[in-house]
Amino acid sequence: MIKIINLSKYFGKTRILNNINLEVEQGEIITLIGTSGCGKSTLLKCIDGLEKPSSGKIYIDNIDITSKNTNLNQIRTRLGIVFQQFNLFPHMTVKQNITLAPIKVKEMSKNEAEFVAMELLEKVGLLDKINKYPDELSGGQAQRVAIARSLAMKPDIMLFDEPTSALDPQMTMEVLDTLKNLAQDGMTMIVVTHEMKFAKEVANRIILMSHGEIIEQNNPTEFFDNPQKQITKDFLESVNL
Amino acid sequence: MYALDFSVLLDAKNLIWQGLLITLQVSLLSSIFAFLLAVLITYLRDLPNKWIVWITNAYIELARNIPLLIQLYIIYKVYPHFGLSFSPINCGILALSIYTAAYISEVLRSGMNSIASQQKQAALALGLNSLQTFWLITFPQAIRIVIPTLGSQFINLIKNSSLVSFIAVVDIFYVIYKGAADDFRIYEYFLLGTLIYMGLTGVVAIITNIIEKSLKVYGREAKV
Amino acid sequence: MNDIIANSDLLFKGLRITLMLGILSGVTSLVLGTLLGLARYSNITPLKICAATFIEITRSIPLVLYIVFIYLTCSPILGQINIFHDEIFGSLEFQSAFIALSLFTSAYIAEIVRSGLKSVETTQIQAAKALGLNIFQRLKYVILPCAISRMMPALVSQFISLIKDTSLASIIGLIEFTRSGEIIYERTYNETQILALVALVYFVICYGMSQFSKKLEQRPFGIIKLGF
Repeated sequence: MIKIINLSKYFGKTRILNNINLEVEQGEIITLIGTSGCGKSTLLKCIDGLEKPSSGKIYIDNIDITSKNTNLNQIRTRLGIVFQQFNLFPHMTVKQNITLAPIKVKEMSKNEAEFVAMELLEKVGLLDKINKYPDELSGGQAQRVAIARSLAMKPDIMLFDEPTSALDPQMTMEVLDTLKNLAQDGMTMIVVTHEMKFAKEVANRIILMSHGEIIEQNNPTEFFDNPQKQITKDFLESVNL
Repeated sequence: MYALDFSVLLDAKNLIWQGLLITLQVSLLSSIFAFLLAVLITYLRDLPNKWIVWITNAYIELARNIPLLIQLYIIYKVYPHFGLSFSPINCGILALSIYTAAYISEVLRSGMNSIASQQKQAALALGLNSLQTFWLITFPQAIRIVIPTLGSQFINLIKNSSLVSFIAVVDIFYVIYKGAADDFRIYEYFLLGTLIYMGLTGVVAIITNIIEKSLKVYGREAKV
Repeated sequence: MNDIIANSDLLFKGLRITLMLGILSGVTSLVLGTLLGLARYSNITPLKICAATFIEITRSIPLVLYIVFIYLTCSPILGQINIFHDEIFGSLEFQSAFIALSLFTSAYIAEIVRSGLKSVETTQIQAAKALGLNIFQRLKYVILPCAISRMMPALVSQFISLIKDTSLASIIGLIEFTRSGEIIYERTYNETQILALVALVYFVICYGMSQFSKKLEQRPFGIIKLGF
């Protein structure tokens, strides 16, 4: 579904990503872990076309998104991304946040979009907040609305960029539950996270990154119980499972 | 077709030079007075005396919400009735100083507000009095933050100095306007006027930049 | 007091011209300034350079220079066009002052618009991009609404400046509020009362606007209603 070949990314002279190769199959749930600044978020933004890679190719269903001829907006309707800081639009209600893109990009009718919004809000347990503004929501609620906003475009793949790191433990639980439900529905997901417990329970594959490179990847059992590389061992030691 | 002929400017070069000197004199003196007055106002506004604060606030609102031209006319026409007569050029300097000081003190206050109140409390706790706290602790930090905004106030002052021509002071604007209208050499004179004002405001912008770079803003490095 | 009452007609007429000049140039400069600000914010280099040149030149010269330049260069043309036969709008002085104030203010508004646009966080723009919104949709639904609410205080203070700036149109002989006061005290020698009244009227208008702006700041998104 996603195929990344020799991807590198520089900011000025600083190397953020170095020669990344990765393939993601439909229905896979991948967690990206690593210390902050290791390039996980940048990798995610490259996949969504929000950052332009310095070199290398990214294919989404065999369409090269790094090519100039590709209509990024069209590809993006197939991908959803949820950010660490929610990034809800502060001047719109929850309903408007969710229905904006379906109406404007997918040209859905207003009624239909609102129906979808209500369905999704019910799924994340926030139907009563439909007419609230983002600043009236708690962090956990705002993040769940952000997830609903992405899901409203009916994406095939969901990307999560540290969705819980701005939240306290209680709210983290709420958001992770939403993610688990999504996983059970069979959504293809890439989750950048520091939540090792979540990674262990939900992911099919765990990828450790360090200094812009993929160090080790494996299924959760192998990854946690039988790490191959020294960096992985050190990392697991430091997060103190 | 209008043919540009810059020789008219050469013929008028003495007048132009004198006008430029008047503009420079008015701008420079007003800048100094306005800044000093603004610092005083900023200090007074920070005192825990509600009467002083009320009076300084009233001054700032009056100065900012009445056109400079009216303030200039009041000083020029009304003050003499109360025994305060100044030469036209001094009226201009006075009006510009009072007007600009109100704006500068607002800029300085926004700088003061951005300094953590703990700084002031710490200084007072060490036994410094309010003047020492202002002069040694809060003001030096505030001024570093607001230098770019301060620069644009001085640029406004230079442009506003052209209003002295309304009370018959022959500044550079007056020379340009009269020359353009009397000689029917509109484009030559206005091109020169534009270049002169761009030059003057450009110099202030450059100076502001140099000062900004040479003054380190403490405690700000990590935030970038 | 008698001098004021006896000449109240002239004062009212002057005030009307001041307000009309302010409102008309205000609206025009808002439209023009927004277009200029967008041009300078855009990625289209020639557009950017043209907008930046106009803005920077305009911002570095005094308004009076602008007014007399427009008056001296445009009045022959305006005199020939002569579209309005209205007593006020038809005068070359009013038309010149209107053009000068609109152009001058639009340069300042353009900078307010540009810094408002720049203040919208990249993360917000990224979120809008990620949802598949194109550049016009991003501007319309996300960037402009956020930017406008942030621009409001600066815009209001620009309009306060504009009202004060209309007084400079007296230099080309437009009998607006300041000039009407001047005419009266030149006749009656009652400078104190007349200038006090003129100052008071300007103060009430401008201070009122600044208080209104403070109210707006207290409810950041209250002014923007969205329907799509």
